[in-house]
Amino acid sequence: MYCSNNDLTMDYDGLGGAQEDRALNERLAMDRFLADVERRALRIADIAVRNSDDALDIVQDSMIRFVRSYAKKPADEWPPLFFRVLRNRIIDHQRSQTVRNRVFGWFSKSPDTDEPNDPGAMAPDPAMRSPEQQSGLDDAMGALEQAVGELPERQRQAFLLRAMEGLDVAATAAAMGCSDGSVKQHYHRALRSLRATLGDHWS
Amino acid sequence: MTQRQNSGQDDELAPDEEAFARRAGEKLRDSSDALDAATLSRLNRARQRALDEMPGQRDLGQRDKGVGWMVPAGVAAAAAIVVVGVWQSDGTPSEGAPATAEQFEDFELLLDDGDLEMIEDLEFFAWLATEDLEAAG
Repeated sequence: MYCSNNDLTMDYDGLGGAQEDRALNERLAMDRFLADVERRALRIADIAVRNSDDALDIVQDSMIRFVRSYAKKPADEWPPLFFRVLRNRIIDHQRSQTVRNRVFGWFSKSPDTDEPNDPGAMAPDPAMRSPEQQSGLDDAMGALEQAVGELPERQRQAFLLRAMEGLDVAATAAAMGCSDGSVKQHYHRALRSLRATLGDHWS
Repeated sequence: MTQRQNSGQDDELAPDEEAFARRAGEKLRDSSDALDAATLSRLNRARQRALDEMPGQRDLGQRDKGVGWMVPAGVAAAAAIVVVGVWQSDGTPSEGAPATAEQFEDFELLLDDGDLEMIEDLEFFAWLATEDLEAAG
């Protein structure tokens, strides 16, 4: 699935020099890695934040932070590192949204009723979807997406990294910043919860 | 794909749990592969932007840009030298003698900086143009 720097060779006549060749090969290897993971990364971000534009911003920012910090690491270490960066970026986004909603709710306190407005109700609907996306929720895929999105954060991460991304337990633990045992626990709980929710669709 | 094939095996899942996890994973991967063209384009642009941030890539990019502007500039300079040489190949500009159609064609060819092969043999080109001028004059 993931390529290695050593698999790639490129002779770049004209520029010449081992340094340029090495830089180009590194760029090519990174390009292939990011191209391989970007769609699933977007899916993970989209399920977490439920906003396509925000999810795209998160993936782009994650890619930039990842290449700045870890491009020189061996390619076989990239998957857990990338998903760790993505996870941190998603958490940052969710925290900032929480703070924004809280501040927005405080400032929009109704003067007539003296009752605070519900920040959640005032914020843009995070699950706002196009008609096509909404109709898609009626099918099994939509039900799965919704059920995964409603999982507790750690369970959702464990499930997506294990079942969708295919990371093994150790890589998932590295991505989530926890122990192998914790990953297994969260993954088991996620599966139990999803099966209970989706039984009619998936059993 | 080795990692995906191993999904679930090291979690000691029951067979039905493992089958569920496999089906759900496949569904999610399928949905991630079915993105629309606009989203794919934005992802591609985001990836290229990230690649430009790789350590060492900026220097390489600057070098590429340097070479990039030097090639057409060099071609234009070479073309100008040849044209001047052709025009003055008889010692002085020929006042009153209109340029021939062939000369204009040569000029256009030489200014086409996309055709690098045309200036690989400048001596041959200069000789060819001189022959045309002599034949016309």
